Amino acid sequence: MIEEYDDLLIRCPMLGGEVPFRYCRTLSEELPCRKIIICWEFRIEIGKFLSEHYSLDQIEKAFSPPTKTRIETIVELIEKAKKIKEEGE
Amino acid sequence: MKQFKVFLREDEIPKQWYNIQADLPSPLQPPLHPATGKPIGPQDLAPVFPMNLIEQEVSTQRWIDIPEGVMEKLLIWRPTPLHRAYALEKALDTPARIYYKNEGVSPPGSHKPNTAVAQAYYNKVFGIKRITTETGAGQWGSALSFACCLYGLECKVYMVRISFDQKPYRRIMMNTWGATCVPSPSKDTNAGRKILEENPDSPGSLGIAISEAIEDAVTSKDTRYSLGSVLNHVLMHQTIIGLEAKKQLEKIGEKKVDVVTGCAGGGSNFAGLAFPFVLDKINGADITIIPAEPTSCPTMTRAPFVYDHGDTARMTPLLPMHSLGHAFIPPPIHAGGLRYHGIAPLVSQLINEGLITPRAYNQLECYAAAVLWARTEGQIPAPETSHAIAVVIEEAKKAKEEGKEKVILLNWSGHGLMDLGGYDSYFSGKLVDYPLPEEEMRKSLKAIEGLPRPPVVRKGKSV
Repeated sequence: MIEEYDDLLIRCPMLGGEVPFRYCRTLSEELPCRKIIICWEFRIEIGKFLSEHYSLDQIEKAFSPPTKTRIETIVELIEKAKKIKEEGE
Repeated sequence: MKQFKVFLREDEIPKQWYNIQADLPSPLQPPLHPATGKPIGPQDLAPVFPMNLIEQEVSTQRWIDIPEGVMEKLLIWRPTPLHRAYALEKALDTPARIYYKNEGVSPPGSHKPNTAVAQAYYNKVFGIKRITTETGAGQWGSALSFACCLYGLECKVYMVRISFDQKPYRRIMMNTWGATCVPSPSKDTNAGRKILEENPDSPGSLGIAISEAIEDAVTSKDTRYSLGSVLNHVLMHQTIIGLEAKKQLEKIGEKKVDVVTGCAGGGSNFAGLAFPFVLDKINGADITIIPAEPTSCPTMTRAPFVYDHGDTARMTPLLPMHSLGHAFIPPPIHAGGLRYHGIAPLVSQLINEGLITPRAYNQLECYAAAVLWARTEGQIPAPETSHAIAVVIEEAKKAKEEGKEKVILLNWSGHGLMDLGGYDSYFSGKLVDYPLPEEEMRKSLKAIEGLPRPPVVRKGKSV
């Protein structure tokens, strides 16, 4: 069952606080956080969990978006926001 | 009578920040624009940061004057006291002399206002009326709310919804200082509305909150965005901690420091205390400087220095960082999720230069250290501060084994009174540690052998 580990807690290095496993497995549009394996690999059988509960397409979707540095993220988001602003004008 | 605390008079506060970019043996390699592959320039960042802060970001001037308008706000709580941790020394039966810089005395309770105040000031003089930001657990959001309040700026904080629900007191702090704090995703931005349409119960994420804060800044009048860590100017604003500490150690008669430590998430807390001592080390001083991190997320201690392409198409490099590497995820899951974890480029470069030596500690060890601290020194540390306390305890025990009277200096970066849920989880046995086996790490590093690496430059020479 997918809720098997939901109550286990971990300190999320991004948020700076404790979160339950449920947060990690539903973070991205109900798909897992990209860091779920690195955070949980040696706590639970995370590879097995993912393969049992997600299709390959879902796993691809969850893990394929590129990770970026903060400054890269900011530059990309600026470009996106500029487009939103232009469309609104 | 023993002296427990060392104070500086207000007129003794350092008048300049220290910019370590002036003294790096090798200059930072510039971050590259994901679309063009060319170095990111001031104009790329101008929609979200005022130009006076962008100038600081790229400055290589060693000392930068702290404006009077910043200083008069810093003096609300600065200079912060330097404490001698006699009770901890006694509990550890160590010959080491342990000192800690108490950054928990700021109104929001952490070191974060040192840069929040400076950033709010520079935005104000640039003509900005309103600042947006994101926050995870709320420490940064509350610091920026406080700073904006001091300068009469509007502040909008997008707080990750799971933390917004878990930590109401952080939100109330922000509201008390006049800021607007909304759970992210929110209905206030296109990015937030899109998420909520698809998933009304979304718990949010830092990525969504950043998207909202930046969209808000770019699309709103007289508005800019503010970041609480990672960037060069943020780290520089924090150096007032280490500069004060040097004066205080001199005042109490310490001629030499042996160990300097702070925790390193994004790097600003560690950098604030350590960078002025790194300058001493560059000039020949024998100091062990240790950034501390959790074993569950070993960014600095076990990862190589590479250009890590996060996507399989290898389209998104490009800031050289300490990386965990692609192959961390076993087949069929590939690269995506595993890049670096956001340590500041300046901290990465100092590791590369061999000037600082990171260590990792597991969360149970850290909570045990925090509890020992609370039961000796009295104050309850923030969970991240406990990583550096673990270093102190380890080094104090080592001093005992060696029979040496070492001087150990810690950045006690904040109190944990808003993070008691973590302590509760620790006491009830809900936290468990599983550090990464070396064999698994070796396998993962092997997989990135073929990727392009940046030139590793140490002391100005390629190695």
